[in-house]
Amino acid sequence: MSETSAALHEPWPDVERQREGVSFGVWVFLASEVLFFGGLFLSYTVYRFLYGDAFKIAAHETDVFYGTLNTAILLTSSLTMAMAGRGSEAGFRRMTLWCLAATAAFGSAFLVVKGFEYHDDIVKGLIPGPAFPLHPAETQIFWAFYWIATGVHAIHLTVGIGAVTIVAVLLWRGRLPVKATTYEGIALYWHFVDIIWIILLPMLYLIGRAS
Amino acid sequence: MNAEQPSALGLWRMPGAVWLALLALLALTVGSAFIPLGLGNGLINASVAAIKVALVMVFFMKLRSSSGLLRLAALAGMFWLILMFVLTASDYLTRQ
Repeated sequence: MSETSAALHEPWPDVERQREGVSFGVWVFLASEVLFFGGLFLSYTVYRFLYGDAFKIAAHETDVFYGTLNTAILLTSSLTMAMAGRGSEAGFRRMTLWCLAATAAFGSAFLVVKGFEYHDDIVKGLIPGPAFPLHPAETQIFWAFYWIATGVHAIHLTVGIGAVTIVAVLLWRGRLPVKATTYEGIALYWHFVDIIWIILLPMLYLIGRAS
Repeated sequence: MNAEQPSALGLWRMPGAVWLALLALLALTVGSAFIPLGLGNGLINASVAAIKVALVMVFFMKLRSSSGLLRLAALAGMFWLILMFVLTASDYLTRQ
């Protein structure tokens, strides 16, 4: 009971209402994020419609192994994030703490894999510009999208790792109660970043593989 | 009070099942991408991505057990996204 009352803040009458308020706030924020990434995805859709063959040639150069591995890592991080939320609601302090730590670790692993992938991409010269190795010229549109989309996603993930790490440390030090509603909001954001990657996987790594 | 307290292991059951389904869908979409199916490839990729997104939203983001307010907030973002895509497609897809 004391854990629950410690989690309650003004102006909420009870923790359930507060949890709802946190979730609502984050969902509204995520709706704006949907349109942010939506603009990016829309431009991809239009250019792929206009230059379908060039996009297939360009997408053939992405590394499907790294892309798949990173998807599996991120899906697993979403599992541990969901479990941190459930552990928090049930009042399991150690489980919440370990799941938060695992989530941050999986997120970091994603960035490390992405780093190896970026290295390979740069070695292959896949940066739009005068010396771009692929033809026709429209393949550069795909690769410009690749760098922007994965870059913006990586920034979002880095913010997520930071937020998860901060609440994990606060929980560990006893500054944040195990039933705090903070985890709920961070979990929603984390799952959203996962969703963006789920959509990016076929756009960047799976088109034109069979031909 | 004790009867309501779930076991730590029991908490994992539902999210664990969703996670396994997500990994199976990942294997399906990546595996099928290497088999020439023509338009079928794009169809499978898009469908699998949509199912994965739905699984994450419904179970991990808890829309299954959320209030109407939260479901509306989640759908509002999708609504404007769909509008943006439909209006843009009505231009590009109908150009001669």
